[in-house]
Amino acid sequence: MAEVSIRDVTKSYGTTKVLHGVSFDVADGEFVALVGPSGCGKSTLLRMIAGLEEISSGTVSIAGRVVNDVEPKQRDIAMVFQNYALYPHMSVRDNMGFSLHLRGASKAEIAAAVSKAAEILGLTPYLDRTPKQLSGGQRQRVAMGRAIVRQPAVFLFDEPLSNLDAALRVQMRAEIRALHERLGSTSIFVTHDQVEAMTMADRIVVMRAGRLEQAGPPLELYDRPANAFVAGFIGSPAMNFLEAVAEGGQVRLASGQVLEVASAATGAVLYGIRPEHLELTNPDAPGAIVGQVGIVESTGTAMFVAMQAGALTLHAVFTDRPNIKRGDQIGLMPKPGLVHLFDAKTGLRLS
Amino acid sequence: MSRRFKHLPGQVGLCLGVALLVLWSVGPVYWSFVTSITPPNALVSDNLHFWPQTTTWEHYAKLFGATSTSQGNEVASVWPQFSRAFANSLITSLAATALVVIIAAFGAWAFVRLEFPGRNVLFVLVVATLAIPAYTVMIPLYRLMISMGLIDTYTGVTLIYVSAFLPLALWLMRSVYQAMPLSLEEAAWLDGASKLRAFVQIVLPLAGPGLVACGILTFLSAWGQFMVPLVFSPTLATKPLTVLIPEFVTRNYVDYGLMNAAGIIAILPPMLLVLFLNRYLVSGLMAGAGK
Repeated sequence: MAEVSIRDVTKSYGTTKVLHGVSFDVADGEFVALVGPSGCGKSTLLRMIAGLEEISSGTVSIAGRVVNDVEPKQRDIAMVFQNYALYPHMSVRDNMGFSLHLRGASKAEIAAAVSKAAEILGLTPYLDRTPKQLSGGQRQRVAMGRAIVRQPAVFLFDEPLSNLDAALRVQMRAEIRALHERLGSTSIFVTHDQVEAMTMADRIVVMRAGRLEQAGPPLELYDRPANAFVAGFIGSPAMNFLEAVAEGGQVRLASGQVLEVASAATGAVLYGIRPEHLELTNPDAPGAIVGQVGIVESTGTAMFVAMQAGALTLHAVFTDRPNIKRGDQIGLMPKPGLVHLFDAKTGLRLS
Repeated sequence: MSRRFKHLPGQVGLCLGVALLVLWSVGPVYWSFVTSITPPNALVSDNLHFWPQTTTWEHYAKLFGATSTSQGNEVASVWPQFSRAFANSLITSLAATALVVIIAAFGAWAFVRLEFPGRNVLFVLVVATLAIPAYTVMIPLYRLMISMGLIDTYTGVTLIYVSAFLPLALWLMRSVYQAMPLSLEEAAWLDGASKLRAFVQIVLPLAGPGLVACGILTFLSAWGQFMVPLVFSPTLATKPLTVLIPEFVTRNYVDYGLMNAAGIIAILPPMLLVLFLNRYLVSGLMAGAGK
């Protein structure tokens, strides 16, 4: 059990800087997700916490101790790799017991720890198999088992679910979360999938291009994104952004339409509204954005509608299956209080 | 043409090619064996037979016997020479193989996983020595060996073999390690292993097939060496079979039967080695490491 503290951490490969000073803290027992698009530096940062990458500047501390120059094996961390990295020539039992064996634990201790972890993960019948005799999900569990047997201070997960099929991913998501609640250990989870981050984490750290964009609880990021990038990254389908000019509690869209907003902002803004915060109305309702229905996709629980309003495309989600089809003229009404305004230049949240 | 015969020309060609290859590689061995069991007078007859009309083990008896006859006269047995050369061949080949496999196992890993200046230049230089013909270094090497007192010693011959066969083994092992995911080693480090321990307990077992291939290649090359021992092993102290057997040619008489009997015996160790190690040349050891 330990807290992790990242202070002004940078990483350069030669002259290329991939991390530009990232700082955040992970409290003891907290489950933090690091999300961002590919190449944002989240995996590099995780590997720096693990000790697999040099830290160019700044400090990483685990349990109050700066570990910049501490070997990975002395950091008391366990990591689940994206490709699992199971030892293919060892049985599941030996894979899971390897770390304890290296620490000089007795045979009885190892056997007890392995069988306990195997029980938690449902691996008991497979202990004598080798990894190649296991399915993808079982291998994933062995990778988890290898991490939990020795009860490390911190768990690191490097996109562990990205190799699983959709159904298994949802199941493992719940299992990892349940495991975290059971063990109460500090966990840092890297993913590019914002749904994984939203559903699993106590707190999300959003990164882009080597910089921290926003850190906070999932719903805070959803409700009050600090900038347009976070607003667009968190939430699926992504938020609609309309270019507009704000003045005196109103915004004027590029199409000339004027919408009321609860903000005193002025100047060029991005008017953001999530697809699920658009209500279907008659085309002639006052304040509605009017357009023609384009693509309609239905998943059963929800209906995804793309509406063409001149040069603009607005995406909306309905759960009540309205009777609309391609080519229909409809109006979309932003729900009051759920509009986000961002500075058009800096992308920062206004109001 | 029906579908069944559509691929006929290709199959006939394939069979023909395989037959040619088999004939090419097994033919000389067969002929050597047949010669070794043909009576001496039949060997020089005008009519060639693919299978001798009468067979004899006299050449083998001559090779293993305590005494020996040649053209009706009792002569000294060749067994002491033969057994000595056989042992020499085994010792130098096995020593070279062991050294090459051990050095390649560690050296290639260093070339792949350790960061040091000039790593790639150094590797290219080592591999480039493969392109240098042995003949061009023979004379300087001879002077070097004399000055170090290594002529006609196991150490000298083994060292030459190692320097000759190590580059190929390094090259092979480097690609074996390159194909191995770094995350396996990283996982071992995080599990608490030192770099050396991760290498020995995780990487080496998985590199087994590559090491076996290196071993086979080196042993076969060393066993078949002729030029090097011809120059550096002048006496029976280190002379191998490849150099001894041609010496069965005397001024008046070429003992074909004896030479081929000795040749057949000389084929056995590499054959047994390959048969024995072949089962470790399995692929797919890495299966299960990842997704």
